[in-house]
Amino acid sequence: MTGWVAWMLVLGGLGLAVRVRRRSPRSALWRVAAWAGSGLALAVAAGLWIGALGVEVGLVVWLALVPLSALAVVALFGRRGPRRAEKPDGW
Amino acid sequence: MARTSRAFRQMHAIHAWTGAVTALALYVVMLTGAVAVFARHDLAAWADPAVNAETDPGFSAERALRLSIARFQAETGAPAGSAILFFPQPGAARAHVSIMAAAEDGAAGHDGVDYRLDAGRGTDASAVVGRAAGDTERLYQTDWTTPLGSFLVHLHTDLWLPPPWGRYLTGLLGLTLLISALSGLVIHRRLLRDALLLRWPRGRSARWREAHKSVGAWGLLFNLMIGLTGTLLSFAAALLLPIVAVIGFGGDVAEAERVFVGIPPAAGVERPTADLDRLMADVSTRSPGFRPAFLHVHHLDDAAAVVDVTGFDRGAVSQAKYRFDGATGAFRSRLDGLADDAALSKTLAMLLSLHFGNFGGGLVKAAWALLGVASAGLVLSGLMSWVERRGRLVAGPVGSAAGARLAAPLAAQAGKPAGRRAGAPAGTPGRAPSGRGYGLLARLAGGVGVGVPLGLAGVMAAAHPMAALTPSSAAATGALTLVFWSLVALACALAIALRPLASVLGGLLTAVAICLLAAVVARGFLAGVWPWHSLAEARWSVVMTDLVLVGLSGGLAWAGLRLARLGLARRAAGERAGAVVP
Repeated sequence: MTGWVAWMLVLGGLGLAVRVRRRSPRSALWRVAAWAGSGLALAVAAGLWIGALGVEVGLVVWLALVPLSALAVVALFGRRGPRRAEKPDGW
Repeated sequence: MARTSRAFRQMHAIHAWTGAVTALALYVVMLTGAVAVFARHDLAAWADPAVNAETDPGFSAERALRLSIARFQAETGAPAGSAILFFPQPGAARAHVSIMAAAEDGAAGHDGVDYRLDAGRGTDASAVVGRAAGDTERLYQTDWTTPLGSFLVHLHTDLWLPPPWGRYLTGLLGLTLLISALSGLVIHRRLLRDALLLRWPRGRSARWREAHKSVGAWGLLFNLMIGLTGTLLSFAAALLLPIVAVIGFGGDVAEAERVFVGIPPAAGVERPTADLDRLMADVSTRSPGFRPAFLHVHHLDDAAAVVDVTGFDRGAVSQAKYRFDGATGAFRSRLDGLADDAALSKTLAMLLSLHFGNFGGGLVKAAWALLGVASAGLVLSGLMSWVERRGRLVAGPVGSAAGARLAAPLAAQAGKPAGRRAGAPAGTPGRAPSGRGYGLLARLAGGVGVGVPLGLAGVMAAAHPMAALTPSSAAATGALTLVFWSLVALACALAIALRPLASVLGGLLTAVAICLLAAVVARGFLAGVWPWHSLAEARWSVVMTDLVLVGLSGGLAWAGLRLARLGLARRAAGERAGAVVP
């Protein structure tokens, strides 16, 4: 159960980070709050995993699941159109 | 500024060329590694339904050892010098005991027998379900409990090349991964800014590039870890230990190993080794939640015997070793630091744990497998963007006449004629486009890219038929090796020979899907165990394996058919426009 809660926190934190990065809100307060919230969620998730699995395993699980979750979150919600006209290719 | 730019270009060249030269071999090792993390337990349980899921509560380390020693002595007539018992793990009640004959000087020799035990049957004579004999190298190749597991692990660790060359090659590939990850970190200047966004441009090669950057950024830590541990593991036994032996032990590798492992020589006085079950109970008292991995008896039934119980303390990534005096059963020490006299084995165990993710159960293994697949994709996407870029510089989009026509305006934009080689004087008329080499490489990359999954799926499908048809596990492993490389070669040949490439790759992906489904069906028919039987028996690792196979099969069939249709549609559109689609 703790593991699932920690994973939800990771997904939430990453989702928040992707949103603030994508939208670039003008309000500095909102930006700082969003980044802080994202960081806090990730830190709490690390704490939960370390508490449940021990320092070594908990930390490694965090280090493995954050990138995996990030890839999924970024692929789903972090897409952005091309920056410039793309060259044609032969594929 | 100029120096920075030059250094950047050099780093970019290192990143591109190290990746390009070794990409295909690295892809094979990484993708098979993603499957090999499950080889020892989960796939072993799937590949051998005769073995029980749960270990018998009456399983006894002492009886398993004595049973194996009695068999060893009856079969060989030689005294046993040392023994290693690998404990059964949750989900697959397989244990095995390797008995090594005593050498003339009393030390453990290098020839022995490995007995496989079904721990679900307890530890009576019927529990012994298989054996393999030979030297340590041969036992190492057959100790992965099933032909499928043995094949997968050795494909990953040495590509089934003869020792020590396979280890050297995979060590070099690990080093390549390390260099690529570090140089990628340096050349990706906006790593943190770009990591949270995924640009999704129109061209497929541009999408390869963006996917490469995104997976590279998030997989950086994993790739650094895998590259470092893989390199050290490959070179530790094959190169580092012999070098240390030459420097400090007059070339005596066995002596160097003995000093690093911290075991004194045998006394030569017979004395029965203490009851191993009592020692196991002692470890459980000292470390509640301890999960034993293996137990090593050095100098069996000798006055100087030493028993090492190795496994995971609760919450630990690296293995701890509990050492006992073999003759009296008295606890000596707990070895878990790099400074003690088991530094070498401790370091190797830690590297193994991190590399194969075998310290935290199924979740960690699943994460390792997914990251491994992502990293294999990273390698392939890097190669594809390199091929596209180089091919475009030479002759437009790789291997296509249509690309050759497209190359001219692109080259004009870049200020140089299409097909002009680097170093040719400006204004030299462009030669006829000659991107055939890159076109061939792109096709080969596509063939290997789909051929390796096809080979792995074919091996899964062939695992049960081969086990039923071949008399020994060594023969079955050899047959699986043949199946794998034949399918990879077939995929490469088809990708090179047939057009359009997208349709060929789509067809091969569909073949992968069929093989994965065939694996589940073959297991059902030949072993008589269908997924619902495993579900009823609550064999969760087997149920998960079947589910993953069926799910992957559906997904790949959909993707394969879509890709095949896309290729045909593009070829039809190209023919209408008078162009040639590769």
